[in-house]
Amino acid sequence: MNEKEEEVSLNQIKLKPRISLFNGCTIIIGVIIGSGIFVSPKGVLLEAGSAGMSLLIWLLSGVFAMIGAVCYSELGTLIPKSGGDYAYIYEAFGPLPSFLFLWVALVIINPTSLAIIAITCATYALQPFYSCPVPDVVVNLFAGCIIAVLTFINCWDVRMATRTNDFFTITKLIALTLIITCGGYWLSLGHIDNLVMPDVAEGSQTKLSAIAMAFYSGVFSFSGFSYLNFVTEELKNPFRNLPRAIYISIPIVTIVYMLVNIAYFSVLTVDEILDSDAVAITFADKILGTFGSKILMPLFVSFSCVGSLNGILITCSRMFFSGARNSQLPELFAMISIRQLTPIPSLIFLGGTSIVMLFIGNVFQLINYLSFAESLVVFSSVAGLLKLRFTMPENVLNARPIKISLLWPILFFLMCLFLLILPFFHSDPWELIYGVFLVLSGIPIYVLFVYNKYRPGFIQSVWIGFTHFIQKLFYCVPELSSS
Amino acid sequence: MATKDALIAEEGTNFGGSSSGDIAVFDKTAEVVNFELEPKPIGLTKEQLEKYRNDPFWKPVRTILFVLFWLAWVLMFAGAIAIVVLSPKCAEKQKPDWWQTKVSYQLLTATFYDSDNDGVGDFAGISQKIDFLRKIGVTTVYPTPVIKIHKDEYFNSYDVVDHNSVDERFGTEEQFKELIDTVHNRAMYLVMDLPVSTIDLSHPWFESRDESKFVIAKPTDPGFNESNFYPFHGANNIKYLGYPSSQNPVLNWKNADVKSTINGAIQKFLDLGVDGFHIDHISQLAVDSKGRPNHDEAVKVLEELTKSVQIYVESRDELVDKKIVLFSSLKDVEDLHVKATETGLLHYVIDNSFANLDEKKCQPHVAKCVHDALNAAYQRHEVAKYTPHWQFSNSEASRLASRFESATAHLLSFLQLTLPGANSVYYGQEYGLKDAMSKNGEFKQMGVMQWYPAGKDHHGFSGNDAPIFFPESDDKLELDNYNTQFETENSALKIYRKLAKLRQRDEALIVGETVRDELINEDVILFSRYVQAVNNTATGSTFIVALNFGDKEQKIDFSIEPASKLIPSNKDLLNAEISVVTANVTDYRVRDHHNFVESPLVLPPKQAVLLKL
Repeated sequence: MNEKEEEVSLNQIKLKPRISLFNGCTIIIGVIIGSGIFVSPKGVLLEAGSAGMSLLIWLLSGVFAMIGAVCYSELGTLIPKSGGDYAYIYEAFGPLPSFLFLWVALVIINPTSLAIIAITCATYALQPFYSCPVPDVVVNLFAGCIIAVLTFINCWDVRMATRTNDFFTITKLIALTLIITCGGYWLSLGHIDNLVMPDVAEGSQTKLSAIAMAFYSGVFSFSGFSYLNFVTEELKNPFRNLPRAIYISIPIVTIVYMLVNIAYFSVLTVDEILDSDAVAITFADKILGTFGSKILMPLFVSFSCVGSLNGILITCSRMFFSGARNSQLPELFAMISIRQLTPIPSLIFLGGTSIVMLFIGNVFQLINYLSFAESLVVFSSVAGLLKLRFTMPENVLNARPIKISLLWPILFFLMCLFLLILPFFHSDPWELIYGVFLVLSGIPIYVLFVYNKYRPGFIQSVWIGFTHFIQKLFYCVPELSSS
Repeated sequence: MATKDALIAEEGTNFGGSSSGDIAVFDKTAEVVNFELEPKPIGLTKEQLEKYRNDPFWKPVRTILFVLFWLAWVLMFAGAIAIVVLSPKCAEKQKPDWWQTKVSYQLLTATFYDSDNDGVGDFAGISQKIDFLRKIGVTTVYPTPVIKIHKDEYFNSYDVVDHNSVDERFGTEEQFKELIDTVHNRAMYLVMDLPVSTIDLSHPWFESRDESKFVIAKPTDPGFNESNFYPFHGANNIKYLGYPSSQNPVLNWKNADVKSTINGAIQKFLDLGVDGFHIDHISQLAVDSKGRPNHDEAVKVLEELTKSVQIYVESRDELVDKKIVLFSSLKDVEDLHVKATETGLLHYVIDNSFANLDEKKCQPHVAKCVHDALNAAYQRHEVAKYTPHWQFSNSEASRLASRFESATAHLLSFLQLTLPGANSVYYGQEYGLKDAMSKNGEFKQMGVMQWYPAGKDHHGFSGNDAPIFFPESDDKLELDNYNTQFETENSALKIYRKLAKLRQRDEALIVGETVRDELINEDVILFSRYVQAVNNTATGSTFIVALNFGDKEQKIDFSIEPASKLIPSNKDLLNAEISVVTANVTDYRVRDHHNFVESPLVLPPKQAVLLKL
């Protein structure tokens, strides 16, 4: 940024709306479509039992995500603040519930999921160079490098970060298009056995509980549809672009998921998919030969992971930013670099904790306990929407730019309720207890550091010193908007 | 939020220890600011920070940190690259040759599918039905016969009358070529019989009385009075050697014309694209003066033959990358095969010992009998160190489902597809086809391939609505056909398909060692398959095969011997996955997980379960 521009922005240090509609779509698509569709699109199939049933479940999950997205587009325009779910829960239910969400996201969900994706990324990126399993230490080093570079890009320039995101989302879509094209070509040669009767329906689950579980895993493949709401304030023309980005992206994702699954089914049988360690690679091996399975597909998978990493970095750093702005997180997290206009401290915290996670191996299972927390968050947001629809002042409600029928949030609320209750009948109860425990562990933290305003003097002075040190180092200040 | 300049953090004053709570806040714009809601900010404001922008201390610090960051990054990256480059290259896994993992499917050309409605199956018919075979996991097609045979014979490929042409009753050479291309297009393989040591009596060589091409005995020769020598065209002063009967004169492999003709035939079929040859009756390639096989000489002839195949393959650009397989069957002389396999002349020998077992021979306990047969086979393979190639049914003996009752036959097919090595299945075996009844009692295991339930089209074999020469089954249930079973969940065909595909997919079943089977309560056969690593650990997955041949339900407790011996040291049965079950196993569903430590595995009578650990 040159001096002049800086001069202009002197009185307005804040995150600038630099995310276009296109960037918004690539963020949503990039975050939702991770490595899952390449590596293990099995959860649905395992429970659904047959190709036909699983395609149906994918479609239903897409519909679910779409309904959810409609609700989130109203939420995003009703409460046009960055921070997504966090901001909505804060508005609707107050500080404690929103802090608990922030807490699990801060200490567990974000660092571990970033670390896991980075490890997947590194593993596949290194696979072409190895004939046997890649050693852990190399994977971790490489994963660390990837996180570091992406964190740097995000700190350096928002535009560079969104461009990186565009690039990787597009390569991801190219990879998936390649899979779809290969599958289509294979089908056109007449290999339709797996997609016609009797094979397409063979093994279909008819028990409601199994179908519900299939739906449960299908819905999780769409998680991330609300991530653009984390960066609402940085969207150009958010009232128009937020809903548009959502309405464009979710159907694209649903269609891509369906077509990729059809492509897989055209080439692989249900058993082959369920037995495969990496479905896209088994697929490529059958249809593209060694080059496809040893070089092309692993690279595509790792590219796809880079895209997801970058999308999560962009969005989640804004969530912390938003939390700090509400004084629920240390002020540092709300600091913006004067030169770069990026939330450097929260980005570095996010990248740093993820790299630390890489080297503490056994924390990864924590994330398994928190799938429950994830559905709880979505549930709370939509419950919040319902509450606000009844408690907000008339004039605010009438002025909201997007008005959807009350039917959608109610429908979505009921579906989320169902998803929230379901695991209590199926999963290991201990897993849920751990999950609840992890969430509740935020309460003492809240009482001690957020609710309680008293700080012993020496701690306070050290903390202030640290804050100033970081500020000087990164040349960043709290958000400052001129009025 | 209103602009508010909190001066709390003025450099130099705050380190005195005053807590932020009692510092005054100046509100420039005189707007009311609610202090209760938020704690006072402690950060420096933009104005306060301004002076650190180009500060002679902080600016270099920033630059140094920036450089350090990238330095550390480059080090990490270089470290990762260095480890990748320096780490010893992992030995490429020994990839099994294609015939070691494929499921081969032997079919009779004449009875498989009649595409031109003349009542006789043909090459074009096999091409048309190839996808049905591919769908159920067949990877190698083995049509018998291909080469032109005696006009009254449809099945015996040893009755050769012309090595150089395909039998025109089955179609033209182009149609055979089309079949090969169809097979290759599906990444499948085609192998065929190549009778090298005998021909039919009606072969022109014999009819033209060309003695030099046959093994001949004059009255002065020691063989003249042996029972396997027969009068040459009724002459009483000259006899020819026949094998296995007078119908098939044995060729004289010292004759250059014989050699060149057969080599020529091999080359012709290689050019057409055939992937391998079943070369049988190799014991007759060299005989002593009494007509008894001379093993050492036979091996030499075989060596000559295989060498010429090899030289030819290497000389042709389009063949050089192919791996041509040469194999034989055990039914001939065992020692000779062992020798031939050891010297690498033959790639494998079909173990057809199970093709001759039947319910009667196996009284009172089928499991015991199977156990013994397996042990004998393992011993053979261990001594000879070759990949076993199992055949449980073939054109020379009654069908598996007729030798045993249906449920037992199904279990045996289940067993066959879980054994180590390669597999050869006889057409109809996949859906439990039984011998068919023909008028004269012949051809019983050579009934037509039944595609559909009985009807005017002869179970879907031929559109010719006139009676045909080949028998069909008269099973009233109409379940013994491909289509009915393909549409039924858990039918024998579906289970066959599951196993055939699984054994070509999972490393443990492709190359995994087998822990010798255990016999439990005389009725249950139990064994495991896994890739063995040090200390009896398993690399990858482990499969446990449990087959109950008896009439009673059996419980298998894996915590005690002998069942416990089958589990590799790094695996347990706390969460065993059900991989494949036969139709009447009701307690376990495929892909469910069960704990077989707490409760035993329950096998209903005549049922099998494949577990994956």
